[in-house]
Amino acid sequence: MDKLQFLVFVSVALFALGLLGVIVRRNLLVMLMCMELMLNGVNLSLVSFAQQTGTASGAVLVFLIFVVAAAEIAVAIPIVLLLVRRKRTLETDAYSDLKG
Amino acid sequence: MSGEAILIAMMPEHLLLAGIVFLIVLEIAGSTRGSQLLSVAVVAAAAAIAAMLHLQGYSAAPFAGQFSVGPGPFLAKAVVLALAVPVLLMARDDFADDGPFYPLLLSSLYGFCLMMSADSFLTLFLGLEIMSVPVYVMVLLAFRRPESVEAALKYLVLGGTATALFLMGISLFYGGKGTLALSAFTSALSSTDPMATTAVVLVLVAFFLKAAIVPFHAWAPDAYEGASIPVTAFMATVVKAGVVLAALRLFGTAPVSPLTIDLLAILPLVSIVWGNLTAMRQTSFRRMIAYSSIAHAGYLFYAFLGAGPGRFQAVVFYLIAYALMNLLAFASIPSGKDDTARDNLDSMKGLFHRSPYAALMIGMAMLSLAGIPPFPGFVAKFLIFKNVMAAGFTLYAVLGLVGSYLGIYFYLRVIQFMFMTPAAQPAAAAERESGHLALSAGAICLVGTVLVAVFPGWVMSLL
Repeated sequence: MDKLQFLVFVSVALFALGLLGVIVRRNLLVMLMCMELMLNGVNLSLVSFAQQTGTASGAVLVFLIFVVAAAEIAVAIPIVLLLVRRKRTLETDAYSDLKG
Repeated sequence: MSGEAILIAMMPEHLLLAGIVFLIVLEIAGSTRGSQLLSVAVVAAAAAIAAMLHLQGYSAAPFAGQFSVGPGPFLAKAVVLALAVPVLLMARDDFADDGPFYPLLLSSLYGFCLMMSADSFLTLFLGLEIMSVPVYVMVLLAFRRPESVEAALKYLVLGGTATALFLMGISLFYGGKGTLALSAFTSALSSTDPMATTAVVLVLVAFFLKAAIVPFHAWAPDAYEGASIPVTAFMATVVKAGVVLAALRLFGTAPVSPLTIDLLAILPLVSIVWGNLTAMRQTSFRRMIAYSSIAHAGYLFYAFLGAGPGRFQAVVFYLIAYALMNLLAFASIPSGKDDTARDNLDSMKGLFHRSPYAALMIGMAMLSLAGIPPFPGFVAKFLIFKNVMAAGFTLYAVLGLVGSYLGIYFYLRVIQFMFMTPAAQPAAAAERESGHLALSAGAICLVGTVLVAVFPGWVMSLL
């Protein structure tokens, strides 16, 4: 297995792990971490593809993803704080005032 | 590229940016009086300039390969910015002049404009995120009600997941094609290479998530119910329009490939049927509109089945008719102290006897959303289904029409509540007439509706 294949495989595995975590885990912070994991899987694959194709745009996109991920978390953390203050728990099962 | 082209081609964006900065400065200076009117003026001016540049047929590429403008993007910007004006006008009850609502809404619009001009996935991704992230916060802004925090969380987690799926799609596409240019995407659509196919599916699923297509719709009813009325109106119209128009920019006029037919016909069909069926048993007006918007997203993605050249016209016309009707209904809901009671469908009982104007407006909006003939919703739906038939998908068109008839029941139920049922409880006492700004928002939508209803041919010739 060459290096590129291995890296893409790892990145897809990271992404799948994150997606699975968002779907099955019921702890808020773990869900947010899994979202980050998905984005980092994407970053890894983008960097490897940029290396392989010899173009810069993929690597540039990685930096934009960093910025967007930071912005998303900056919005997510206050939401989590508000929820925890109200319900005193991180389990999402407690947040079911809306029917879903 | 010369500075002049950057100045003119990005004029709507520049105006919005100046508005955002000015609003933040006002916020820091502590005098937010007039920020609502300021944002209305900024958005209206940006829409007017976009419309003017569209009529002139101006086109330029200020940042080649990343950002370009032409009549099509200018038209999309003009339409959606104009639709945001009533949203801003009806925000008076919930947000007054204070708070971060106006800069957030303007930045969301900025992201939309960026998306409409995107030439590469880099710009498209940035635009999509600049449009979405402020909306998470706007949902949260109704934080006096406990549900809004929960709604914002659900929206954020599913929105973030959609972003990640979109990015994974982009990454695989980049790995296969070695470029991020949008123009290369159409060749990936018909490709049989597994990497390109996966990329197309992931990108499409991300768009379905953001536009709330079944089975990726779980966030929408909660987010719509948890947000306050202007924000719900914004999500149901501007954000939905943004996502669909971005998908349209991605697909261009490329014919649908066998792979995308499956996704573009079956999932929207399921969401038409499911959205209409579930809307029947809702007791909250906003939840009902959420399910109705899931069904309408289905019609909009149906339009992608049609032949390439007619697609843009059908989608934009549908968006205009659909968004005007939603805005008209939201602007006409009588304002009251209690947001939850205001939202309850029971509070609409006997509305005609209390405020006939509001009841007539909401009734008209419901009839049009259901697609009853003299109203613009009918022409819009007709156009989409005509294109789908012309492209040879007769079976899907018939099934979609049958699904759309399911929706008539719950739209008519609202009308029955308003006109034929006496008010249940004296809760109506807390109701008061809408402010003159909300009334003017309703009036703008009404004028637009009448124009689209009476001169559909003229409106279409402009598109």
